[in-house]
Amino acid sequence: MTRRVAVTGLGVIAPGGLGVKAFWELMTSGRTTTRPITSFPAQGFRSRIAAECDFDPREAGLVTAEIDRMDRYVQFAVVAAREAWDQAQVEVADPWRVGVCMGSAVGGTTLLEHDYVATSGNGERWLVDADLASPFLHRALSPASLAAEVADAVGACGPVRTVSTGCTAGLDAVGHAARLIEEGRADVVVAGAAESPISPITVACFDAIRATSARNDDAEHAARPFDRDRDGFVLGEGAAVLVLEDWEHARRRGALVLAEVTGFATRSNAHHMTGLTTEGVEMAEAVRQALDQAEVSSADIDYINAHGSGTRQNDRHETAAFKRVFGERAHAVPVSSIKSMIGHSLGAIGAIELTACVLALAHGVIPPTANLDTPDPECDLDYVPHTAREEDLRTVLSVGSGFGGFQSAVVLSHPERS
Amino acid sequence: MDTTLSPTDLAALINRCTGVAVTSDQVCFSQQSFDELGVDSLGLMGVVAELQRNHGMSRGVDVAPNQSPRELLSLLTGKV
Amino acid sequence: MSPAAVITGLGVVAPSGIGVESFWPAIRDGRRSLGPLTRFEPNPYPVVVAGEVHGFEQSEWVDGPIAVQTDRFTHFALAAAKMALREADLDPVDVPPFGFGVITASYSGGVEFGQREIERLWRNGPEHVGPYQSIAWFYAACTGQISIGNGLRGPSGVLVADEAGGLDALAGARSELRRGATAMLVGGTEAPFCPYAICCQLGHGLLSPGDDSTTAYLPFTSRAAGFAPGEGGAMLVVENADAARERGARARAVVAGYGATFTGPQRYDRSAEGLERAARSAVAEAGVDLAEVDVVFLDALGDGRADLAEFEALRSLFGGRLDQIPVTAPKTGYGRCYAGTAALDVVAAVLALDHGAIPPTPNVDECRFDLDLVTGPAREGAIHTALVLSRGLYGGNSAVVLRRPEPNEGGN
Repeated sequence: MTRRVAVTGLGVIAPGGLGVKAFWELMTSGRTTTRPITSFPAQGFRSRIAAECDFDPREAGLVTAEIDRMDRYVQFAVVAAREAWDQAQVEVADPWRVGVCMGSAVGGTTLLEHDYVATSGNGERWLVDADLASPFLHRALSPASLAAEVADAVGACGPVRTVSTGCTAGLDAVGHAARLIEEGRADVVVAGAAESPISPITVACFDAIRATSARNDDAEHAARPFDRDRDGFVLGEGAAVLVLEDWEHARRRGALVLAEVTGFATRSNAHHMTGLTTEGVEMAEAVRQALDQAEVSSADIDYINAHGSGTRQNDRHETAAFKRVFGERAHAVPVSSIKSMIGHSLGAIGAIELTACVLALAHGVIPPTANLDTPDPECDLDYVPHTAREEDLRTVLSVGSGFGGFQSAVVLSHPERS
Repeated sequence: MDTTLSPTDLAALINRCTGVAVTSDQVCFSQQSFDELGVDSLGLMGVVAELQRNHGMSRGVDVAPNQSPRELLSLLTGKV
Repeated sequence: MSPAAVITGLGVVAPSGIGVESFWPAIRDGRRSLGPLTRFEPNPYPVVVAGEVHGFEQSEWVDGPIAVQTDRFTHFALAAAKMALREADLDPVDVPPFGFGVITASYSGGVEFGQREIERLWRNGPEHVGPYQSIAWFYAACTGQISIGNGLRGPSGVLVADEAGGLDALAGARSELRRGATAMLVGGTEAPFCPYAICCQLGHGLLSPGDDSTTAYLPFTSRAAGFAPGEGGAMLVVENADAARERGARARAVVAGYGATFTGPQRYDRSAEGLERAARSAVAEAGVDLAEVDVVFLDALGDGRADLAEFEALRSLFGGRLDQIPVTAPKTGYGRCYAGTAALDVVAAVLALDHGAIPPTPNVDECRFDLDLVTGPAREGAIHTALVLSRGLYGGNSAVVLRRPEPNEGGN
């Protein structure tokens, strides 16, 4: 029999909400955090807006050595991990049974770019001057360092790895972590994802394919998933960490179980690195597999946390996928995209969305889709526009799509589901 | 503004930006769209960006994958 | 119990050979494939000896449009995937629509492509960054392109755990097979030789500064001074044993067990226990006894403390029997290819099981530990069970047990 997976701790660093409490207040307020980029001078770029975290590492509890050593996205992750770990109150009897599984799409790009500029003299030298590099640069090259820092923060000695499936990395990291528990490879896994992609190279690469919004003079309304007037996603940053635990392990120690991870699946569209099919077949398949694993039917899903990036292609793709799985009932299931409020933090967002789902289950409140003024006629589901909605939630679904053709789905259930 | 882009130049530029082999004959005479030639949306964005950067193509002009290199050339020679 | 996960196809792009037909004789004969780093010139960096892949004709393996939109590490991955499918004689259209997935491990991503694009950004301006930067540099590029290139719509993944990631990916593929996938392409490739990637690697402090390709990478010797980096890697086809048997495929090895632990970045003293525990889990999961292990493929980091830790792990595992167990590190002949390393070790182990020969540890002719390190000619004799060990730069310790398939698992 496979082991059940409990969520016993949450931590989050998101734009407009450092820590779970502030994050949930934001989620239920329908406020948006998108604004003109302050991380670097963005004139000359097509998209000059982002959802940034006002994050002071020292205030967040990091010490000088940590701040020096860790890239921004790692700092987010470690602070979020400490919050989640504190909440879970796990007393580790055997560190070899504690694992870590963290996701990130672009890893240490911020430091990679910073040091590239220094070592190349603003791009003048192909043969960069290695003497000008930071001693911690090597950690930026490989995001394995992300999971390693989180592991050290909680004292984990079990399986530790970073998942990097582009923009589904956050969902996949949590799904993969749940499997480590199901398969008996660990009793506790600290799972989540982190990203700090708001740097010139990342902004420029999305500019080049016009994936991001250019609504520069109206930043707070720029992230408009499912809206007729959307023009792409808004880059975000942040991290979220969930403490996953073998159900019996959590029960024995009397831990408060916040939710259960009941299903996870991922499928590829084998279609295009950035393009999505209009039919959403692969996302539908991922959802069906996740529902199967959760031993629930589509009729049991009370809420869908959508990928909802706010590109026309995505919004139509996933709307089609939901109709494929839910049939007529698709119109009756609330669907929302929190990217409308906190932007799209690439690899991190899936974990942030799962955190929002756990809180939604716990509070019985569905976070809304902000800025949804005039729905795209092709997108005709109930996207919970503007205002959070109270609803008794038992089982929720979160989905994501990523460059590379990845489609992932996670099912979370209320701890008292049966 | 560079208005001297020949069919051969455009064919070479498409090849360089997208890796799809296109002949100058195709640029001059064929109705085949970028899509049909195997140039995807990203590739076409690369072509357009290159034309804008180095060949004076105006930023207002857009080209879709269902248009042909021939249409692109006429856009360039006509509008630029 | 679910059917075994069997390896049916191997694809290799390594400094010592492209394709198993070249790779196997090269490692069996202990051929030396390290040489001067020539990917860029001049080379101003204090790393001179490397394992470069020579004679790789990208156009043979990668279509023009894909070549333009991908980095060299993805070219290697696409080529290795194609070879592995060919070797397995498996056409993805014959596999159920969502039954074939891909998992790759990565360390540095498409970093040469990335350096070219970031140079354009900083030298010329944002509008000079091309549309393919968004899909060429990131760590998921190989999984995505292999999936698209071969029509694989099954479960996919991308792991970053440095060298150990190759073994973690293999275990991930096995897990997907147990959950219903029919076949998986799995492995890792690396192309870490542009100037900026070297600049980044210098910081980990493990690159050998030696300038003689025969002495730069000498793990387990008193002259160990770090490792020579390599490029390349491998992809493998792993299948559900029942499905493989049904289609008449020959199973070359069973992925029998896996274990993984973490002991922190460069905390070598602790990696001894970490490696030992990972190996014990792998052996236990494989349902074999430690006494049945016929050969160990070593991590062989080439740092004195790390080598000592690996030796201690082996001593704790095997006790007084240790000197009777052949251990080897063919990678001293071609370098450590980061996430490609463990995939190549697995390929070497599968070939060793297949051919009944343990490939040697090239360039190494002494050993400062009481180990039966295979040097000189390949050691011939039947091998049934191999243990593969790997450590990541940031503290992961992983182990995989491979064994020969039984007749009912498609062995012969």
